[in-house]
Amino acid sequence: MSRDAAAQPNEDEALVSAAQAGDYPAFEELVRRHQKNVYALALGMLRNPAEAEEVVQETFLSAFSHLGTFRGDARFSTWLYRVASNHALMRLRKKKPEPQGDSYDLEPRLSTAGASPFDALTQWARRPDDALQSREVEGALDAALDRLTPEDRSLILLRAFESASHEDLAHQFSTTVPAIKSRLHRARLLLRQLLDEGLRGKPPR
Amino acid sequence: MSARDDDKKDGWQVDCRKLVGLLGDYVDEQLPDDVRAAFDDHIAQCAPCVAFLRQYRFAPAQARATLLQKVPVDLESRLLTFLGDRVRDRKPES
Repeated sequence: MSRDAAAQPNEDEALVSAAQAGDYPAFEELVRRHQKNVYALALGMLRNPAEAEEVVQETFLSAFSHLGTFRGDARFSTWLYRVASNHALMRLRKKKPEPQGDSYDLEPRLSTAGASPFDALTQWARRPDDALQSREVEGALDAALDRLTPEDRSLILLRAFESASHEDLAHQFSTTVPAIKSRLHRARLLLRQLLDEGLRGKPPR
Repeated sequence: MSARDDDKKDGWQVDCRKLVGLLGDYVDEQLPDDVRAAFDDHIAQCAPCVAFLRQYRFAPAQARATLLQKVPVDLESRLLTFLGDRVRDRKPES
């Protein structure tokens, strides 16, 4: 059984060295350790299981082909998820823009909520362990992710899966670090708000 | 002088509205020490902001957890077969 890759970055380095020298089983172990996270990241970005699996295939083919160029400047997982997100972003950019979260009016809702913008919040994050088991939360999250723009989803997930640096994100999205921080913050606020509304049973707008 | 400069004259103070704008830097651990201390002072006495912060942090983490639950159980075997057919006898380019 493969071990938790995130907890064993040093073992990744040893496996990469072996794979670079032609040890194919070492590459297979890297695949085992990271395939779930790569799939989940791609699924979150693309919202399509078939496309997500194609991205996983493309990611590991690219990773194998370019493994020789990996110098260890970053963690292997960081490098791998960057490859995966590039493949997913290329697919997203080929698609027509969808009228999703960008049209969602977040700021006025925050600024017109009265002296405290936090009135009447539900307590859905009080016990995350319980929520993890909740079909209700899962359904609300799916709906919330669907309502975000692909780019906002991507920002949130790249940060959540690999703690991608703001510099990395700015590079991937061809913008500046302050701009990416602002967009990431806004995307997180929107995800929180959509999830809150979903759990409180508000109809989608 | 910016609003932030004004705040600094008497030390940083965070109210509920200001807290919203600082959340990203707070969870990413990028706030200056004095601002972080003021943020912590505020949430220590503001239950609604504690709830909001918890939700702000929780939503992306929960998204990750939910997506991981959707990984097909046979993805690994399909993927290894797919890759083996294409690259098993090749060596990575250097």
